[in-house]
Amino acid sequence: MLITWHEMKKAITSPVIVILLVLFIAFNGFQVIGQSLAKEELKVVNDITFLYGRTLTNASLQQMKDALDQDAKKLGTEEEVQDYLEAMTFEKYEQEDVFQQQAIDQISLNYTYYSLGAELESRYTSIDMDELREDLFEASQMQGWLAGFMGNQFTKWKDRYEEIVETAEYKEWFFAGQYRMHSELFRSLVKNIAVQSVLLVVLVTALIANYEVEQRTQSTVYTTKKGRKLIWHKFSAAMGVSLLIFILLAGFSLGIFFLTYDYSSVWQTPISSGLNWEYKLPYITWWPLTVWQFLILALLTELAVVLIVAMLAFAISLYVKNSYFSWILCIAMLVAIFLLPSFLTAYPVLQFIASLNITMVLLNPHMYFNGGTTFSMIQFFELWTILLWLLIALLGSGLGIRRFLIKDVV
Amino acid sequence: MLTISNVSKDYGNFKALEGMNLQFENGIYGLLAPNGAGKTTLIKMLVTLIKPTSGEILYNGKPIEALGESYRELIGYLPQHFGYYKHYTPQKYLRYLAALKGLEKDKVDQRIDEVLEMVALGEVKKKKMRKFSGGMIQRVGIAQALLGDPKILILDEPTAGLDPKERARFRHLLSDLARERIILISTHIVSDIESIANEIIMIRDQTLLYKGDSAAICRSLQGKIYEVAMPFEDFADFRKQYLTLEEKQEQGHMLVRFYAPEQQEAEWTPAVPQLEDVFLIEYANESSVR
Repeated sequence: MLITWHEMKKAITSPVIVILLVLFIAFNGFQVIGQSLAKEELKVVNDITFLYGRTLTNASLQQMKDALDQDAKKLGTEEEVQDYLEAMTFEKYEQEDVFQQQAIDQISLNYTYYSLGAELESRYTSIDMDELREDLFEASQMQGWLAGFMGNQFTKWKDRYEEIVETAEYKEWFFAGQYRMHSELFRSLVKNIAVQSVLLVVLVTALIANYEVEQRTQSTVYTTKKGRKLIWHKFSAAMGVSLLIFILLAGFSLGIFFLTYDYSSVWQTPISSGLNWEYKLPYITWWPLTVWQFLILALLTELAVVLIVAMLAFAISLYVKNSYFSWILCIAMLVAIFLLPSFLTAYPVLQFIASLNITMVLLNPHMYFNGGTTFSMIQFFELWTILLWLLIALLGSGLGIRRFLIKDVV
Repeated sequence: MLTISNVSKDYGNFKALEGMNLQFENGIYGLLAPNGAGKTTLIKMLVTLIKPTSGEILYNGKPIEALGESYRELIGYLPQHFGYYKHYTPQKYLRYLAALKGLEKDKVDQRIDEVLEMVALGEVKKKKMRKFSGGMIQRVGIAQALLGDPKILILDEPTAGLDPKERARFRHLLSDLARERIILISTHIVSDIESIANEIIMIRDQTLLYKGDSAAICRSLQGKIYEVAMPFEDFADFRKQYLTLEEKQEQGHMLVRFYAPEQQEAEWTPAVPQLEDVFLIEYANESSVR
């Protein structure tokens, strides 16, 4: 343990690593704060769930509507809230005093959520799964077992969609899709954390693995009692520092995010909430997952990817013997893995296999555990990809270490 | 006892060492050879950095490869190019190496103080090594080699960068340590080992040339080393005929010490052979010696 700690210290006291870590955290912080213009508006969800509960029902929507009508009346109108807001022109709004304008803004915001809630059922149940199935098969030229497999996956996903409709899992309050808070958290921040972790972790791992070569201390270090078995400590240290980097990056960055945005009322909301509808389709996860469960699983998935990348970087470093070349080679490999499926569109089976892609998992945390019409949206996609690449990484590291233990140190 | 039994090392078609047989018991051994003769290869095999292509190295009858950690535990090694972490202090670096050497944790700091005192670096143990001179770094290297109180101490060019005072101190230190351990010093500075080595090992062309005590090897040159004083104008021709070992300008003439194995002139004065003479004669054709 003491030796592993010594190896870890070589990396964590490196000025390059410390400076990059601080810069990445600062970058994430600035990005979160810089994009938080709507954070006050988002608080309305807390008020809604406090007053009407987390679940959308006809009764709660009616209560909400009545309350909004009452609020409109307080502004001196006899109209219903919808008519009042529709009649509110820019000129009229400008003539009101500041307090009145704030009240109008608040009613307007609440009414937006009411409208979304009121339309949700018809909008959500109108998703045409059969059309999506056609899109899936038209987009690729799948045949044989792959066509059968993807068809089966789609059927399971359709069943899951029907379950969501049946159990009304989608009828829970979340930030309106237009704010794209799911993307803000996962597609932007969690992805940034993961990419930054990878950039640092590859550097740190290469640094630890090649430290003795670069400092020209291998003759001194590998002739001690510990000898070449030090490489196991280096491997453990690389994993330990990788874990530490991920925890620090995620801890500080998410800390800033959740200090900026108030998620207190939506932690228990399913990620498949119909309000969490940002693009063509809402997020339809394979399993019922709440926001906090999704966040934890997404972080664990990204951590697994980061550690696998660290193992791959370790294996490469044992052959390349130069930190910066190892870094370039490892990053180039991750980019190549990512691009590979796009070159295989004419070969659906190969494209499917290439889609079990560690970089794809790294870059798409917002799509984790979601079903859909691409190869990367099959059930357990993340798990299979991680297991496959864990095997490759363990094999690569194992062979590299085995070679190191028996080769000459010159 | 450390035994090298018919050891060879090849790098592809290049033979770095061939059919080497040696035995070491407690005492100081001086390994003399010019650069490229194979001494560093031999040392790297002794410290397990490289493996012989054929033959084996035994410690008390057991192959060192099989002994693994229990063999390396006995080694203290100063490489020819001693690497160190520039941003570490000697104390911090030695603590790290102590962990790798498996020293008992509660005795580490005391032992570090002892070895740093031995090499006169006690006062700078908390200073970053990036500010150290070459001689100081070399002394840190010697300290780390001594850290585990090794039974086999292998030093490759240990006096490189040391000033005369430090070299003398180092020789005394080795003499004190030699009673209970094998000490192998590889060098091409003959004076470093002449007075302290129990045996001299000479390697030429990747094979063993000689192993024995320095007096015996010097005796073999008895009657073949001479001194003569001559005018400057004769010196150029003389140098073409004989291997000169020492040349000194003195009050209008040259005083020359030289090797003449077959003939003697009346004006030549027989000289006492030194180990340095053996080195220069045996490696006269090596480019690194000439």
